[in-house]
Amino acid sequence: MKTSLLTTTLILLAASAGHARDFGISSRSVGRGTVYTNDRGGSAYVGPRGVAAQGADGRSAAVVDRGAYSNRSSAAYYGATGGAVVTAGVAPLPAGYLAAVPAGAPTFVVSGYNCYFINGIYYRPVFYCGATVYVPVT
Amino acid sequence: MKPSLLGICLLASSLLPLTAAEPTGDQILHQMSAKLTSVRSFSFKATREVDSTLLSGLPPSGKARISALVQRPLKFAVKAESKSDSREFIADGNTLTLFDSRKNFYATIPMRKTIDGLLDELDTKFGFTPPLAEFALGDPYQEFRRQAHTIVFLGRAKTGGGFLGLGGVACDRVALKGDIADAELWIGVKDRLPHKLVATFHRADQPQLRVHFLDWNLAPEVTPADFAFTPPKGALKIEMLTADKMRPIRKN
Repeated sequence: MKTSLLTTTLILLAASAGHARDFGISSRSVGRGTVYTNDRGGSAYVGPRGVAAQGADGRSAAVVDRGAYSNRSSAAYYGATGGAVVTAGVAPLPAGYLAAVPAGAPTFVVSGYNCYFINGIYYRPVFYCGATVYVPVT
Repeated sequence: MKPSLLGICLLASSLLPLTAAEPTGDQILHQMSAKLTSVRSFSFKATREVDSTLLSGLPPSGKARISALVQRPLKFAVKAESKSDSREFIADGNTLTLFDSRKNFYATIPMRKTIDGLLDELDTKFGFTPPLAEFALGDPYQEFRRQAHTIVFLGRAKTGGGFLGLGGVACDRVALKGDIADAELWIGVKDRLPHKLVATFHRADQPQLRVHFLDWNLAPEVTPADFAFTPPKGALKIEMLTADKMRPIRKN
């Protein structure tokens, strides 16, 4: 199998080099973990106890033992803030996404999408990591 | 003449029943995998519970009921239902459909692949796989073995069963140790099928994931309709975001 994570049920959290390559990121082993770097100056460390990341702009983030609980997926990508995010299992919902829309939210068709209008923003439903979420329409 | 102590010991040992060597965890895992791959089709049901601290701010999922039907090498249909959610994953050998039946949304994407290839592509491109999908792989053993740095046979125990423990299944308990979590897989002594899985994460609060398998059927009646999806009336087709598409949306 190309990917390295278990599984629906398990376990054994680790971001894979395979995933990193999907995002144009190279990797090397450091201690018990792996350091990922990209050509924009960002880097991320993935170790047995969690991950830490630093973007080209110096901003950083760390996630300890992010829970991988329900699938074998992992992802590594560089977000708009410059920080690398490495997740496993269910990815945390990115900023700007909604997990649910309020009951009775008005609906419109915008840019060909069926959208919900919430707090001045149009949201369309999409499947994200296998779950329904709502993303802003641009 | 008095019998010697040595003679008594030899006589006693000769009367002991021969016992087979205790299996290793690796062997048991291999046997489970062989059992699962010995049939073309199988189905099972399961319940899955996740401690809320593992969800990292996501809505609690509660107890989910999962039903799965697999027909190797191309097809599966998996349904996961909880109080707040109901999703179906259907692969027919040509496409993969994800259907959120509570919200009446669905997505269908081309996927002319084997189950193994499909799960790889789902995982790498879309960031998820259907629940308990690894048991449908062509070689589950390899998948588990590659992920666990230690596999140990813990001994035998019986699953809880129903009232007063009736109906429990005698299982071999196999521990799979990983860097972030340890798992315990209970494999039936007689049927060599998975019956229980508990993963405990290496954190202070030791949150767990618990799966109980039910109703294994290694000879299910399978028809093409089991893997066919017809959108219900009013269902809205929506996009299934790839990992690549997640980035531009994050910037907005």
